[in-house]
Amino acid sequence: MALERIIRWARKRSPWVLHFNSGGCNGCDIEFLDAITPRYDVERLGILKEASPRHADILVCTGPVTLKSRDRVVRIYEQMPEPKWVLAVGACACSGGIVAESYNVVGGVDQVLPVALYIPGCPTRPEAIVGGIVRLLEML
Amino acid sequence: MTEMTIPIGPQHPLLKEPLSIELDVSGERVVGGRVNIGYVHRGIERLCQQRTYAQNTALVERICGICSHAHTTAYCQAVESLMGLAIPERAAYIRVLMCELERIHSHLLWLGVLAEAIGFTTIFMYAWRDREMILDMMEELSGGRIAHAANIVGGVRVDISPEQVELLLQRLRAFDEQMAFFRELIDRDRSFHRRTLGIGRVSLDMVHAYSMVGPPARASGCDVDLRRDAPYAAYSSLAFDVITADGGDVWSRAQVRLQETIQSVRLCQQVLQELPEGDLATRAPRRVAPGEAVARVESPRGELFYYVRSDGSDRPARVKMRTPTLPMLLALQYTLPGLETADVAAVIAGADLCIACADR
Amino acid sequence: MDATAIERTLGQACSAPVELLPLATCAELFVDIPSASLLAAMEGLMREHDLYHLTTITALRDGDGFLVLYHLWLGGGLTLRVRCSGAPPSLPSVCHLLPVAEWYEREVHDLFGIRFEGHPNLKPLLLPEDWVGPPPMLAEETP
Repeated sequence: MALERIIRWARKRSPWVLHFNSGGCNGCDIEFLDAITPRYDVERLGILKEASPRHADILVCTGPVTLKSRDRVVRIYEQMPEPKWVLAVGACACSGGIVAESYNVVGGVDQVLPVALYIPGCPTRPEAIVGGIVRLLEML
Repeated sequence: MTEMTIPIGPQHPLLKEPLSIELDVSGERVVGGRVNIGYVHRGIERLCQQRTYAQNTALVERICGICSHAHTTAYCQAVESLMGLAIPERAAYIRVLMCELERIHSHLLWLGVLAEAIGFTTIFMYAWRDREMILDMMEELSGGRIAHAANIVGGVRVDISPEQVELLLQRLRAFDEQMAFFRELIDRDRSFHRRTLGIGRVSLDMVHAYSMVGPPARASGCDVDLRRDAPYAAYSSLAFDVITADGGDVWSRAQVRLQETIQSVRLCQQVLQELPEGDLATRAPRRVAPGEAVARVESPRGELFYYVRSDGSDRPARVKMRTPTLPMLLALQYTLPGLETADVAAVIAGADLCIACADR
Repeated sequence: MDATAIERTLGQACSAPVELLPLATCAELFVDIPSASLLAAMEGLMREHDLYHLTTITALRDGDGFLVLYHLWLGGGLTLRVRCSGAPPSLPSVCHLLPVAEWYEREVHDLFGIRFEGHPNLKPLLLPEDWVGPPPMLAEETP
C-alpha cells in the first residue's frame, strides 16, 4: 500500500515523455521542443524527453496518422511499458486537422491509439502544451 | 569485418520527423545507405485542387511549420502572376521582412538541432532561447509564432505601425549582440570543430550532380541565391551579400548559415528603415483565367519552386511544389557511404532536412 | 540564358525548329518537345549550355493524355513540355543524365502512374508499398 503510494508520487513528479511525429508539418513539434527550452522549461515538472519508447511514460503525438506511419505509431505504443498515456498535441493529432480528408491520412491519433488528453492548436503554443501536461499529471 | 544494417527511424532521437534511413555499415564505416520517405505525405497537391485559391494559402502554410511563410510567398507569387496582379510596394517590403525573420528563426533552430545531434545540448538551449526573440517579433507583427498567415493573394494581411518599427529595430539590435556568441562558437570552439570540421565533405561536382540547393550548395562553392539572381518581392531594392564557402563540410554549412543570419538581420533593418507608404494588398479576383505560372523563392533551405495552373474556375487545376529538401535527401543517400558511423548524426543534422516539406 | 542559342540546340535535337515562349504571366520560358526527342534535348542542353540543375518534374492531366514538364534552371527558368499518352503512359527516363531525376520520376509514377523506361528503381516514393487503388492524382474529383 505505502509502496503503491510512493510509486504513484514518484511517477507524477517525473513523467518521461517520448515524442513521435506521425505525419505532421512539424509546427507542433517545434513548439513541443520549445517547451523544453529555457523560456518554458518543462523539466521543472520532472519531464525528460526520452530517446526510446521503453523508457517513456507518456507518448506525445503530433501530426495526423498517415497510411505509412500507422503501423509505426502502434508499434511504438506497444513497446512502452505500463502504465502509459498518449497525449495528442495539435489539431492534426486531435482530429486530422487541415489534411483530414486526404487520401493518405487515416485521421487523428485516436483512430489508432487510446488518447488520454487532447491539446488543440495549429500549432499548439508551448504554454498550452505545458498546461496540458500539468492536466495530465493531475489525472495520474 | 562485421557487416550490418542499422535502421535510423522512423522513430529515432536524432530525427524530429519520421524518416527511414537504412545504413549499411562494415565495422565503423558506412558502406551504403537507403533513404525512404513518405511517412509525412499528406497529399497536399490533390487537396489544393479541392479548395479555392484563397483557401489554399492556409493549406500551403501548413506544409511545413518552419518555412511556412516561404511557402505562402511562393504560392501567392505564382497565383498573382496568373492573375496579372502587381502587389503594392509596402506589401513587398513586409513580405521580405517576414521571409528574413523566418530565415533567422530557421537557421537558429537548425543550429540547436545540430548541437543536440553532436551532444552539445547547451548550445541547443542557448540557440532556441535566442530564437524566442525572433518568434516574439513575428508574433508582434502577425499574431502567430509559427503560423503567421501574413500573406494573402494580392499582398499581405499584416501592417507595421511606426511604434512597432522602433520596437523591432531595438530588438534586432539586442538580437545582433546575442549572435556574437554563436559567431565565437563556430569560429573558435574546439569541441564544435572536432565534430564538424572536415566532416561530410561534399564537392561542387556533387552539388551539380544532384542539383543541390541552399546553404549546403553555397557551402561547397555554388554561387546561386535566388534573392540576387532572380529577385522577387522587394529584394531588388535591398542590399545584402550572398554567402559562400568552399569547404563543403558540416562546419562550412554552419558558417554559411550563421553569416546568412547576420545578412538577414541587415535586410530586416533595411526594410524597417525604408518601409514605403501605401496599401497592403491589391484586390484579387475569385476566378482566374486559364494559364500557368511559376514562382521560385529562396526559402531558408534553398530553392522553393511552385507551379500553378488555372482552368478558368475558382480552384486551381494543378499546384505543384518542389521543396529544397528533396534533392538534399537524394544527395544524402549518395554521400553517406565513406563516413564513420559516429559522424552520421552530424551529417544528417548538418543537411537541415525538413521531411514535412519533402513529403508534402 | 541565351534563348536564341537554346532554340538552336533544341531545334537540332528535335530535327525541327522549336520556339521558346515566355509565359504571359512570369519570366519563365516554356518549349514543347516531342517525347521521342526528350533525351536528345537534355543531352544537347547539358553539352552546349552547361545544364546541370533539374528543379523538378511536374505531371498533369491533359485531355486523355498527360503533360510532363521538366523544369530546368540555366541562370533563368526553362521548362520542357512533353506530351505523353498511351496505355500505359510512358516516357524515357533521364536518370542517367540527371541523377536527381530518380526521385522526381518515382513521384510522378506514384501519383500519376506514368512509367519511365530505363529507371533503375521505380518503386513507390511517397505512397506506402501496399497502396491499393488507382494513382491518387487520377481519381475523380468528389463534388
